[in-house]
This record gives sequence, C-alpha cells and structure tokens, in this order.
Amino acid sequence: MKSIDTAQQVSSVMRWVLFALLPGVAVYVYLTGWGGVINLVIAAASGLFFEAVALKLRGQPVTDNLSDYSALVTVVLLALCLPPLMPWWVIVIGSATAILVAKHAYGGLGQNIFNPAMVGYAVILISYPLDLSSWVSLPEGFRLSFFQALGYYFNGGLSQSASYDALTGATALSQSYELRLQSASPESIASATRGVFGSRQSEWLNAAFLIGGIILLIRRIISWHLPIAFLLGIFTVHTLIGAQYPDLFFHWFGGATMLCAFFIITDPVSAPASNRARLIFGFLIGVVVYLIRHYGTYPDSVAFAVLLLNCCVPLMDSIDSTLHGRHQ
Amino acid sequence: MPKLLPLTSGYRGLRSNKQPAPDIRTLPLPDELLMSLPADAKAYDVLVQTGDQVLKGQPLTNSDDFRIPPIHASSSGTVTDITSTSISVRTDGLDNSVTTQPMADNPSPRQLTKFAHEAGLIGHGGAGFPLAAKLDAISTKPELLLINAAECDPIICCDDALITAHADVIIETIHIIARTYRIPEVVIGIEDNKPAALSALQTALQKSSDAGTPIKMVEVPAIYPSGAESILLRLCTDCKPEKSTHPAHQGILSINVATCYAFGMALRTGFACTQRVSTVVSAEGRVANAALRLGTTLASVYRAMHQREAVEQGLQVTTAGQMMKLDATLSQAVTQTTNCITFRHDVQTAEPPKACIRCGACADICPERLMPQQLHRYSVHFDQHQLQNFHIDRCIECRCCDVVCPSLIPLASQFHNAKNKIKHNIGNENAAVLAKLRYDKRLQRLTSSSRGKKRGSKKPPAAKLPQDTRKALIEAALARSRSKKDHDGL
Repeated sequence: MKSIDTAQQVSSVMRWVLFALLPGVAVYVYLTGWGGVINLVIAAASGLFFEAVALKLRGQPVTDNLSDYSALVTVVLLALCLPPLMPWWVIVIGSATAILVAKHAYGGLGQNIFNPAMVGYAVILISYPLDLSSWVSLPEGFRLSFFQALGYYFNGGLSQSASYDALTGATALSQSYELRLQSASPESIASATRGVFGSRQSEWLNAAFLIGGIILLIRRIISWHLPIAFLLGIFTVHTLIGAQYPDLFFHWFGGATMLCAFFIITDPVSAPASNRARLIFGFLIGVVVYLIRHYGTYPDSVAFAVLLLNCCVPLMDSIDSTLHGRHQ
Repeated sequence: MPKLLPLTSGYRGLRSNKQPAPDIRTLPLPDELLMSLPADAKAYDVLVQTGDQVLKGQPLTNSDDFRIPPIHASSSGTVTDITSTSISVRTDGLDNSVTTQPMADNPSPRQLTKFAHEAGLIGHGGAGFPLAAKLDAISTKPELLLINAAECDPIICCDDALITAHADVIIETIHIIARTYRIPEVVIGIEDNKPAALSALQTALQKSSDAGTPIKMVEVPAIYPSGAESILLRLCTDCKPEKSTHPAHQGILSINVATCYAFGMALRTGFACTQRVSTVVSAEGRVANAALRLGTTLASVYRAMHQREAVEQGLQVTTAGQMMKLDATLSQAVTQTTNCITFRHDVQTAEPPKACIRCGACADICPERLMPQQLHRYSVHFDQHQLQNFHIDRCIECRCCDVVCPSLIPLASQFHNAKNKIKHNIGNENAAVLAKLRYDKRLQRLTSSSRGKKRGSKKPPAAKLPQDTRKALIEAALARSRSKKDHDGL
C-alpha cells in the first residue's frame, strides 16, 4: 500500500520495471554469455545517446527526462529479444528506430501509438533477417571469451562467421517450424523441442520473465488484464489448432511469450485505456501471435502481433468511451 | 497527517486511516472581525454605517432573496470600515448580544424557511449553499432528507468532534425538519471510522422522545470523497438523481451535519449563526478542532493556535483540507464554509508535470468511474465532442486523480477549465441560435408588412423556419433553463 506522500512517479515506475527485468536479464546472460552482455551494453548506451540527442533537438530538459528511465526500459526490452554475436550496427539501428522514430517522432513519452521496442525489433528483423535468426546454440554460457565475442560484433556477426554451422543452433520454435514443414509427427516434434516444462532453453528465460511479471503485478504497476488475456488468447487458439505441438506450455514458455505478456504489451502508452478494452487487446495479441507462429514464416511473431493490434487501440478506446461514466 | 491509501477493490477513492478527532477548543475573542459580504452588491442592503455600535447577532445586511442570506455581527463592537467585500468590526470584548426569542414549537414550513434565512445559514460543508433556498425548493415535493455526516476531506475531523459533543441537538433538529416539511425518509450517512460519533448519535436517537419520521443510519466506508453529496447519495440510498438539476428539485434535501447543528442552535436560541467548528492543522502538523467566531482573520487564528504574537514570513495558508487545498491569505476571514485551515512553513515548489504515460492509475481511483487519462488528452487539445463522450460533466473535481498521477499532472484543474470552456461554448451557441431566430423573424415581419402595402404583387418566399433550426431552438431553450437552474442553484 502506498500513501499520498509517496505516490509513485514515472521514474519509480520505470525503475521497478527494470528491477523486475533482472531475473530475465540474468537468465538471458547465462544463456547467451558475453554476447548477451555486449548486446545489452550496446543497446543501453546507444538508446540513452539517441534519447539525449532527441531531447536536445526538441528543446527539452535532457537530464530530467533521461532520469525517468523510460528510454532505458525500451532498449533493454529490445536487447532481450536479440540473439547474441550480431553486428553492432544492427543493434544501433534498432535502438535508433525505437527511440528516434517510434518514440520521439510521435511526440515523445506518452504520445507513441506503437510500442517503441517492437518497432525497433520489427525494422531490424525485416532488414537483417539472417542476423536476427542466427542464435548461437544455447546455453552459450561464456564459452567464448569476452574478446572473442566482441570480435563477432565488429566482423559482421555470427552470420558472416566461418564457424557458423558449428556455433549456431535452432531455437525450439524455429525447429518446430522446420519439423512441421517436413510433416514430422507430433511425437518427434515434442522430443526435439520440448524442454523440462516448456520449449527447450527458452523456458528458463520465460520463467524468469514470469517471476518479474509477478513482481510488477504485486507492486500494482501493471494490471492483470493484459497478461491474463494474452495468455488466454494463446490458450484458446492452441486448443483449436495446436494438435501438432507438444503442449500449451510449449507456447506459454517458448519464444518471447512471457516477455510479451508482462513487459511488452503492458506498456501503458500503446495499450488501450480501459480494462475492458485491455482484455480484448491482450486476447487478440495472443491469438495473432499464435496464428503467425502456426501459419506464418516467422518462427516467432510477438513484434508483428503487438504492432498490428497497436493500430486498433484508438478504435478500442473510442468504442469503450460510451461504457464509462455510467453506473450500471 | 493521516495517510491516504488507494483502495484495493470495490469502492474507489482514497482511504484514510484516522485517529480519533480532538475535542473542540474555544479561541479567545479576536480584536477585529471581518464579516465577509456576498459577491453581488446589488442583491442586499447594508444596514449599518461606519462608527455604529453593533451587538452580537445583529444583522448587518438585509435581503429578501433566499439565495442571499443576511450577514450578522459575530460579536459586539464598533463598525470601523465598510468595503465592497467586507464589514470590519472592532470588538469591545463585552460580547453583548441582541435579545432574541427561540423558535416556537411546530412552525409552518414557510416560517421555518424564513427563520433559516434570517439566521443567515448557509451550508457548512464547503460549497456554502444557502439553507433557506434548499428548504424552499424541497417544500413542494419532499422525498428524502440526507444528513451528510461524512467528512469532505481526509484530514478534516470537525464534524466528528461536533457530532460526538452535540448529537442530541442534531437529532432534535432532524426531527424538526422532517416533521415540518413532512419528509417521509431520513438517512444519516456517517463514515465507519467514527465510532464515538456513531455511538453518540445512536444514544441520542434512543433518548429522543420524538416518534416522528424514523431515522436510518448508514455507515459508509471512510473513503475520500464519500462526503461528496452525489457519492454519499449513491452509497446511502438507491436514489439516482439526475445530473442536470439540483437534487433539491428532485425532492432530496441533503444537509451537512454541521449545518444541521447550526440550524438547531439557532432554533433553540433564536440566535443567528455566529460561529462554526473547523479543523485547524498547525504549522507543525498537529490537527485540532476549534470553534471559530465567524469573521476571525486567519492571521489571528494562527496566533491563537500557535500562541505567538507575530506571523512569520513564508507562512502558507490553505483552506478546505488537503485534497481541495484552496490557497488563502492571512487577511482572509473565517466564514460559514471554512471547514479546515492548514498552516505550513515548509512549502516546496511543486515539480513540473511530466507527460502522461497513460498508466491508468487515475481511472482505477476515479470515484465516478471516468477515464481521466482520456479526458486529459482531450482537454489538452480541447476536443469538446470527445470530452462530452467521456462524460466530463460527471467529474466532481475531487482530485483523487491528481494524487495518484505518477506524472504529477494537475488533472482536476484541467478538467475544471475544460468544463468552463464547454459551458461558455454552449452559451455562445445558444446565443447564436437566438440571434438567427430574431433575424429570421424580423425578415418575416418586414416581408409581410411590405406585402401588405403592395397588394397583388408577387408572393414573397415564405419565411418559414427550417425544421432543424426549430429543433435547435427548442433544445437551446431547454439547455438554457437547465443551466440557469444549475447556476442559480434554484
């Protein structure tokens, strides 16, 4: 419970989000080794730099606005979606798009209709598909030394490396995608992609994000409507068309599901305002994520689903206006 | 200072965890009294001149309009100055009062209304609605008497102390009002964090020999703003008053418990209202309740409460509690609506507001279940259509959203400005429709008179009002009468 004197300010909300990301960051770094660390550092440094430039250009107080941590949250979320050992400029382009285009071109904090992190991710996913889908076989666990890892960033990344085949490994979602193309039996898909309780490897990342999300729920920084509706959306489509997949947890604890549920779609700026509209919004994102995973050519699809539904937010808000201000 | 806690579920608003109310103190009689005059100088006559000797309870102004109650001297002394806003009285320390007669038993409704007017009573809750005007409106169709015993601010506890000390007067007055105006239903809405006041009321109710209208007590959760009239009405009864007119027109008489007490004392003694109980928060943050003579300046309240001779530099004073927080000056005087005075030394300049991140904390807290984040967006860009779509007219400006906003946006004052702008625009639209109508009619008259002169000439086009103009006209007239009622109150 909070009192009137310590009502949460924007910076404290953002600090709590960063704090809640810590378990996820820890698992991410464990899985991706020095590459993950370098990803996070490049994203954070470039994100803060672009934020400062944009604020300066727009004639706004730089230190005041930087200290609300909102830009840092954006680029950390972006970095957590990226595979390690990619060219450094791809990350910089991603964070530049997120901060300069998706956030400040729309009018800065509170004005963006699209989730900035997802805009940044979608732009580099379309521009550099190979870099964005070249995952080192997990867990990398600091097998490469810091300087070895850093070398990849300045030499065109993992996709340009001679030892590409030796180092890379398919993620569970892309493996299931390929196996489905070969019309493999559900049992063989399950044996190839299933981990202890979710997708192989990424289940731990998802579990860590779930813990962070529960922290945010307890602190009442996010409302339960969005994540629950999102997970329900995935559940609903899974029960309808998911016979080929091992089980529901393969999707709930696979890809970027939990990150999306608790950290991406809960961005209040680009989500609808009312709880009713939030339920619809979250549910539809869950549905679209599953449909793209199942029918699309991208193994995971959180970014596209979120951006697609971001477009519908003004509509949802206006439909819901008539329901408010009345006591039923 | 009591802490405010946002609610977890159910009711919306800010919960206050409160200590028992301190007892009522009496302050020494100040040397000078400043009796505030009503805003409209044409609506009343001043009965005294500079240099006149006045007695406590002597009327200083006179008016037949129930909406402008007379002002009374609250102690004996000499009139030293009369300005457009106030009459200054230098007290002689004797506190001699006029001789009066208590109200006779079983008065007629008209007598009682007139008495409330002559006693100068206005609502003690904060809005200061004249009691006589309310009673006058109710007398045609009485349905419900709601006694508002919920504080209108989390820090205010003067009603609590007042009920605890004088529950018998309050209950007696309720019986008199209910009997005189034949009100079939009486409800007292009291917050659940006032056990002493509640038991005092129950004891007084049992002791009361009056077997008139049964009085129902409803405990409402101690959540700001449950003391707001519309919210309390919703919490205590199943009445759904329409927003467009004042509840008094719909047969609902809602009276603050302090007003009720003041009325009761006036009836007992025949004496005008000359003091009220207010909560005073000292500069050190101590909360006290004090019976203040009307017209006491806030500077002398400060001196008396802090036992100091002078007033320090940089002292900030606000009235109406920690939520409404109206800025006041030390030269201002206590009126019947002064329910709380807060003194502060350490005034920090407020941080500048940041951009809205649409977190929705405001929507979660709004007791009217509005969406302040949307209203904020539309009041910044002033989109009248959307503001009305999102029911800005239902905003009671309780400032709960201001308190929880992480971006420190002054939402309630933005909504207040937007509401004024909308009211202004509607007035302009009405005026334009009327002007158009006048013009059309004049054209009609002119053409018909010229037709009379040139008989047999070509028939002029019929100056018939188009259908939509007539419709707009009717709507405008309706809106005007509604807004007039709202403005005048009655």
